[in-house]
Amino acid sequence: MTIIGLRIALLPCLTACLATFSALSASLMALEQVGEPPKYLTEKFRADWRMKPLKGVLDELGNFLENPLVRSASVNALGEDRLIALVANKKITLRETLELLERSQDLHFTAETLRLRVETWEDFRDRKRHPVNLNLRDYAVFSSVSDFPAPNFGYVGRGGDGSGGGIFSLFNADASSVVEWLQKISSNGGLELRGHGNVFVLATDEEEAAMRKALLEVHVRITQGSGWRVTFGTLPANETFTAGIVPTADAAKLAARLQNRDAVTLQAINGQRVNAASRRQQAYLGDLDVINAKYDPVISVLNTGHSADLRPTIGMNFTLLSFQLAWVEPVETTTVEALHPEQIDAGSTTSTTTNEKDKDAAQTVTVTHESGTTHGGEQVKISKPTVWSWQPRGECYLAKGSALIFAAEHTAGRALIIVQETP
Amino acid sequence: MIRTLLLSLLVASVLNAATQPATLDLRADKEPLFTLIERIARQCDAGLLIHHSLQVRMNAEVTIEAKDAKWADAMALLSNEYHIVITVNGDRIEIDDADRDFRKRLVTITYDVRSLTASMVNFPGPELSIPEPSGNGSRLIPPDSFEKIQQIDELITLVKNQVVPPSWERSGTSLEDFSGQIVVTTMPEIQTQVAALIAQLERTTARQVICRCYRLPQVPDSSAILDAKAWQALNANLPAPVAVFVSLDEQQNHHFSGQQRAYLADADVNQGAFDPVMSIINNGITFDIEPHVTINGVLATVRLSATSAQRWSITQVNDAKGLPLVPIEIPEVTSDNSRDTRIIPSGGASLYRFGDHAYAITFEVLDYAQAQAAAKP
Repeated sequence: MTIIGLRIALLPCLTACLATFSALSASLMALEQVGEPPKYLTEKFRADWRMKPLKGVLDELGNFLENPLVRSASVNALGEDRLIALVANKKITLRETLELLERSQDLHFTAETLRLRVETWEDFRDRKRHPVNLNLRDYAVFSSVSDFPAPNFGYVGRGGDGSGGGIFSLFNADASSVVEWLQKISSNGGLELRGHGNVFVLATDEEEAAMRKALLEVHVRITQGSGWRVTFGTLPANETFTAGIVPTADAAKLAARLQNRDAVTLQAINGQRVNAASRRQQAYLGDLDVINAKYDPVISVLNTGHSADLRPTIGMNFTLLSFQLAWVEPVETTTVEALHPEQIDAGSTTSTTTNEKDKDAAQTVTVTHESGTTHGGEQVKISKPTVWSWQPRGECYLAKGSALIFAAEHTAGRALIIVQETP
Repeated sequence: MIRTLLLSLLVASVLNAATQPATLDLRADKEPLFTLIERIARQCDAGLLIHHSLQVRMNAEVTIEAKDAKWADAMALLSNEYHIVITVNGDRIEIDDADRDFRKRLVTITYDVRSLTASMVNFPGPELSIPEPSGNGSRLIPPDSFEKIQQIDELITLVKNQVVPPSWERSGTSLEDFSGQIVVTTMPEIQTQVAALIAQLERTTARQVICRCYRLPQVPDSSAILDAKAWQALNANLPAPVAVFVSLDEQQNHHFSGQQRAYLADADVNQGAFDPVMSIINNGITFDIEPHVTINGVLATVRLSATSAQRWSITQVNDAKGLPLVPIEIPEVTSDNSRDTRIIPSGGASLYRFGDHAYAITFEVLDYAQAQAAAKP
């Protein structure tokens, strides 16, 4: 995915963070008190401002306080333009009045013993910001995991060798997108990404908490995993059982009844393909090629045993489980003999007659003989393993608390495979 | 004494609190909105607090002819026409911007819908017949095929169309995809509906069938399709099924179990030598199904193959002097084969007869959406 694509993908998260930001501003807005509680806060006051300019409101409050009311430059700038509508139908404490002004006017008051300071909410927020270092690697933002298809069992070619498949990024985003995303949460344009996924930002405690909360939510979501147990076993043909999709408790009881029981366990990140197997590998001479008129042995490897290859994708009330299971038993290995008998090509003879100047002189005859080439002469035994094979594949939706049970004919009666999620 | 004090405190608090009248006089004739708001405050015996974002809007000229408007109707009118929301808070009414108030209530929830948008794979089963000499043998099962991909865009459109459609046009709401998940920002009560719809879609998508296959010890003298009652009677004494597997609705899947044997199937002449051709032959049972769940039962296309006998002979290839070179193995296979489409009633079974052999297949439908609907009172 391109960076542009990633940015588009992150947009919903950005929107989500704006809602967080609203809550953040509300939590920041509370009358601040420095030192001992000033007495003037408990004085009773009756506001009666009907679209009155902010400057006049603050002047009136200053007169009431009998203490200086210090205004920030931003507040002074609002001066005559901002109109206040606050009408109390009885006297309330000055603290309550100031808190109503804070809430309705996005102002912030700091009450000191001998003076009252007022500033805009933005001024206050910027004053509270401090350097924060977020290490994105702590949240697995740049981590990737691989798919791990199981190796082939028996003669069924499924294309996997067990060594790993495609890699997918957990967060599915690059560094610049993540920084942009965090920028929206903190509403601060000054984020800087340095080496090793460290983000430096000026943020208030609340903004830092919001960013860490958002990262934690993403972290929990992208690293959500599930554990599975796959049990293989047999039952005599005359025993009854229920197979299909059954409650986990019933599956556990059935698993306990199985003979020749074998189990593998797996753990997968949501959407990841993983495998586990108890297997036996057998190398054998399984075929012959003919190269340069000679037999060239072809060696194959046969996997037998039990294998589970699962991709669980966790939904709301169900888990979509893609599975490739294998139960392959060696039955016998016979051989067949192929003979390539020795063959010799016919040789060749050439002769040259030299006629000397003197016709009467004896002639010299030169004869060259080349021997025939030998081919073949190999006798090779080819192995022919026979296996019993059962390899259920497919997909199903497993409701929480349910397990999947497969059954097949087997020399011992019935073979069963039980797939269940572990707590 | 204490009781008297508590009573007086209670009376005092009641006296201080603003009241929300049953009806409001909203009449206004080309007056500023602020004047009307003040009049409402007086009717509530309340103080007044207006958010600064409404400063300009308070000058808007208002003409309303409504004398005894019910409180709820009055609030709806003011919200729709002037985008303001009025709340009674203690001894005052507070006026805020409706959109700002709406945005304050927004919550964001991420729904992981990858299990709904995954493509469905078909898993056809292997053949039991003798491999063609020039073919791949039975070694390779047919490749999987990917059938359906549900687009996340379609899912988003569905949610927008099904869950309070006008709400998605309001400022601050969003419904977007993010790496196979959808991130929804809206009000809590709408989130509940979104979650319910996704859960409903999941239940619908999760419709699947459990296929159970039986070898019948005797060939029954009955029709090829049994209803639930007839199958129950026949099944009473049957041994355990020889195959149990699962398939999604409309997905092709299969069961195969049996022996797979390597054998020397042929020999090609290559550079003066007999080049052995190895192959694999299956000996077992295959049920390949493609079920379609209908209101009348399961419409199932079934391919059944079962090996009943496999015999072998050897044809020895000798050279001119009678020297044995390559023993070619010649299989002879007897099998039961059937391929057809039937509708199998709920709880019933489909029977397949081959001389003195017979098989039965049943489908148990797991329809979670229907089960949910049936569970509702």
